[in-house]
Formats: sequence, structure tokens, C-alpha cells
Amino acid sequence: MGSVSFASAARKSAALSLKLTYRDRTVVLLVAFFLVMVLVAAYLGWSATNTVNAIYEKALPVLQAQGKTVPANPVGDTPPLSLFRNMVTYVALLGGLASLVLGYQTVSVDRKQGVVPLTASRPVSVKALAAGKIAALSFIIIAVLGISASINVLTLLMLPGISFPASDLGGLATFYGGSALYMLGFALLGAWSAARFESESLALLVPVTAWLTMTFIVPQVTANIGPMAALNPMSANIVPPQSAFFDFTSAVLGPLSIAEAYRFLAASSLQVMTGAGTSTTSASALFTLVAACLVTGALYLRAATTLDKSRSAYRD
Amino acid sequence: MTNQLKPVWILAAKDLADARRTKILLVLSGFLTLAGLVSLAVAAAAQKADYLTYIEARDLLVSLGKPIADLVEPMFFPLKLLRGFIEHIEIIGGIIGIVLGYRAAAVERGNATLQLVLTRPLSDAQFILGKLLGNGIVIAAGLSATFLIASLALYAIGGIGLGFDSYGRLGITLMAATLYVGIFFMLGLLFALTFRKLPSALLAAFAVWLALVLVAPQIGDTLDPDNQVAGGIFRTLNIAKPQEIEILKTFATYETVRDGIEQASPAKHFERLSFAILGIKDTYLGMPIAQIMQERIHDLWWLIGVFTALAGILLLRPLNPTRLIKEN
Repeated sequence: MGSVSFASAARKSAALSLKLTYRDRTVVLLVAFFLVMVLVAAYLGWSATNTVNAIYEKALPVLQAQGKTVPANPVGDTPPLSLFRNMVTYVALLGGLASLVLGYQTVSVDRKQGVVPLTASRPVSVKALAAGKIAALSFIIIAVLGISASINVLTLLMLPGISFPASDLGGLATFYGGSALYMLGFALLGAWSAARFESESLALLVPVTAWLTMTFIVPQVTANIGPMAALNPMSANIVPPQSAFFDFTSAVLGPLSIAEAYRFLAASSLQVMTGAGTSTTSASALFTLVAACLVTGALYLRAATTLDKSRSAYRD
Repeated sequence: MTNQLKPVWILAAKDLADARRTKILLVLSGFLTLAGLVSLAVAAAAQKADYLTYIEARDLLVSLGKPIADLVEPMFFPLKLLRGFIEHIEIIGGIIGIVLGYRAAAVERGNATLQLVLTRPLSDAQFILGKLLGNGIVIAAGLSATFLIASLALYAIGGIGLGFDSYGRLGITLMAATLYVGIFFMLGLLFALTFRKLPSALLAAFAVWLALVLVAPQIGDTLDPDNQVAGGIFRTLNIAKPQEIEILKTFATYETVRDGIEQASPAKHFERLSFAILGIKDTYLGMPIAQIMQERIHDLWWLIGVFTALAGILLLRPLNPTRLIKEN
């Protein structure tokens, strides 16, 4: 029996994973939820900006009657891309969680349906199968974010009173590039957990706990960003208090804070950073996200190769 | 104990034993406690930084011979440090509730004991009541331990013991937290007893949690015009409070929709009640408990209402054990 080539096995594994994901209603529903929130994010940004403009219009006669200096309309300083500021939050929350589920489902389905012992009896490289799954995860994430970006561009073109210079396309591309890396990191974490643990409950709980820690606990320790404040995209501007405690935590944990790195990169590419709190750079944020993908990818490959092929089913 | 209640208690005792054996509650409560302690330590560090900044500013003014009357000395209110702790209960507490609810049903479905239990002279309502009672005790015990550790941490940070009034405030917050986590427990249980596939039930419950705990408050917060401009729109435009109120009257519908979205979130009701009781929100700082309860009672009623509605659905809805076989 001749062995299947690495590329061929990876291609087939990727194609099968894509087909199974398409059939999985849970993943499809989560993705649909995410895309609905993309539309909501655009509407919210537009509505909130319009309201600020309306308040300014109402405030003008009051200021003139009082003989006060009339400041410039804050809306005039609002870049078009900042309309999508809520996307930063939705990618971090919905995108992160949906990616975890996607990665988890892509691997767990093989374990639950007895595919693992079957493939172990064939001359197929386990690494090739795992690489195929990574390719499928990357493809799905890029496709979903591609649809999301198209919705953004269409929204910008359709919303009244908004001009969208072509130069802003670069910012949008950077935002989606960072988002893809962030989501891929969590998808690989989900895949690793699904391959690593013997208990299905644990396999779901561990990555969710890691996501909670990265999103809500680490930013609090490094920059005093409260759990609920982390939901606000403007929190990328928060400056940590001047103290030895925060100097130490931001130096030690800062480079590992994936959520903060993503929020920084996303908020700066959508031009919602005011310049405060820029304790990091786009390059270092990008490095953190790429490193997270490499580490979780390596962990998943290792878990896939060391998985006991004869007893792959979950205990619970 | 009447004949009707005996099987309920047996089921509850079995879930209590399960919780002890699997250690899942210990792990989840441990994570919540750890998150809470981290937030307390961070809040204490931030408070210390504020105080040191004040001292530096005061010393500078004194050395320049300038008056220091305009400087406001940061005051230490131990319960105010619990802000992050409460927010972690909103987020992680919801997850704990869902996971416990999911497990309460999954353990019966996975072992195929659901059909077996229901072949006994036991009504669906008794089965659900047993689950609610057992896991209600587990949730209350886990949260009580977390609150106790948090109050000890407050003592360690502040160096002064909490008074009777402070413990009363913590007690009310603990009660609200138990109701809040109970809501998500019932959501997890309801979904796990409804969906054919167990992982789908868990993920659907997570999606509802995301929508209610994270997305709805975020939308409400984002739509607040004062949050759109750094420093606040009215402060930026130099508009005084009376004029601000007048202007906002013309946006009544917008504000109603915005507030309505926030009100849909049980997390927001739990947060508003807890922030008021603990004095985290400045307007309630130092206000007697009775007066706060009078002002914020609707938040408590809202939590009780959702809790009761979910319990009602669970108790009245007939179980379909043939549909709820081990996941395929």
C-alpha cells in the first residue's frame, strides 16, 4: 500500500473539514451572529456620530446666546473608519469565541466519530491531516472576515454624509489582517484543547477560561482596564497609573497580552486612538499576534501527533 | 419530610455529591476567586498610585508656597475596591452558572440515567426541583466562599475590619449574585434539556450569555453620546448641566432605546444594584442601605422576575427523555 503524499493528505483533510464545518449548524449560527454584529457595529457607529452632530447643532444657539466661544464640531475630527470602532470589541468577543468553537469542533468531530483510529490505520501523515485542518481554519476565518470587510465598505458607501477616501483602505486592510491573526490564534487554541484533553467538558472549558483570562484579567493587571471597560474600544487609550506595580506588570505581562496587542493594532488602524496610552507599537503588537499563532499552532500539531490513536474518544 | 419532597432532596444530595467529587465547582469558583483577588490587588495598587500622586502634588504646591485647598485628598472606601470583583461576577459568574446547568443535565444524558430516573415514580417537576435545589446550594456555597475570601482580602489591604453595615452590604450583594448566577444556571439547564446535541446546547447558552452580558451593555454604553468624545461631549462643548438636561430632552426616544437595550441585560441590573449598595457609584456613597434599596428595588425585582420565569419554564415544560438520549 503506497503512502499518501503530505500535500494530498493535507488538501483532502482541509476539504473535509470545510465540508463538515459548513454542515455544523452551531458554527454557522455563530458566524451568522458575528456577521449580524458587523452590520450592527456600522449602524451604531453611524448613529452615535449622528447624535453627537445633532447635539452640537442644538448646543450652538445655547453657546451663542451665552456669548461663549463656539468650539469646533467634534464630528469634524472623526475619521470615517472610526465608525467601525465597535468592530474591535466584536472581533475580540464574538470573533474570539466563535474561532475557539470553530477550532474545537474541527478537531473534536474526528475524535467523537472514531475517525482518528481509522486514519491511524492508513498510510497518512498525522501532521499532514493537522496541517489540512489549520489550512481549513485559516480559510474560514479569512472568508468570514472578507465578507465582513465587504459589508464595511458597502456600508461606508451607502451611509449618508460619509466620505470614504481610498487611502483608508490600507487602514481597513490592517485591521482585518490583525483580526485574522487574533482569530486564528484562538481557533488553534480550540483545536489544541480538543486534541489534548481526554474530557470533552475540559476541552471546551480550558480554552474558554484562557479566552476569559486574556480578554478580561490580563488587561486589568497590566493597564488597570476593568473587565467591563475592556468592552469599550476606546479603552485602547487608557494610560496605566504611574506606579511601580503597573510598570512591572506591563513590562512582564504586556508582551504576552494578546487582547491588548489586538486592541492596540485594531484601534490604531481604525484611527480611534487619541495618542494616549500608546505604550506599545504596531510592530510589537503584530509580533505578539504572530507569536501567539505560531505557539498555538505548534501546540496543536504536537497534541495531534501525541494523541492516543487507539483511545481517541472523549471520556465524557 | 413529605413523600413529595423526599425524592427532590435525594436528587439534590446526589448533585451536591457530584459537585464535590468532580471538583468542577472548586475549579470554577477558584478561578472566580483568583480573578476577584487580582482585581482587588490592582484596585489597591491604583488607589495607592492615586494617593502618591496627591502627596507629590501637595508637596510641590507647599514647596512653591501655593495654597493646597483645591487639591482633593483621595479617600479610602474599602468596598469601592470591589468594582472589578463585581464585574468579574457578571462575566465569569455567568459562565459558572451555564457550565453547572449544562453539567446538571449532561451528566444524566451522558450516563443515560435520565430515562432511568424518569421511569421511577418521580414527576418531571420533582426532577427539576431536585436539580435546582442541589445546584442552588452549590452556587450559594461557592459564591459565599468567594465573598468571604474577598472580605478577608479587603481587611488585608485596608488593615481595618469591615463593620456590621459593610457586611450587610456584602450580604445583599451576595444574594443578588446568587440570583444572577442562578439565572444562567437555569439557562444552561434549560438548553441542555432541550437541544438534541449537548455541545450545541452549551454553545447556544454561551451565545445568549455573550448577547446579554457583553454585547447589550456594550451597545448601550457605545450609544451614550457622552462616551463618543474623549472627556464627554457636553464638557467639551462647555455646556452646563441645566442646558445639558434641556438638550437631552430632545433625544428622549434615543435615550429610551439606549436604556432599553441596557435594561435587557441581567448583568446591568446586577451591576447597578451592587454598585449602589457597595457605594461604588459615587451618588450612593454613604447612603443608608434602606434608602438605596428603595431607589434600586426595581433591579432586584428584575433579577427575581427573570429567575422566576426561567424556573417556571423549567418546571412546567414536560421532559422528553427519548429525545434526550446520549449525544450522537
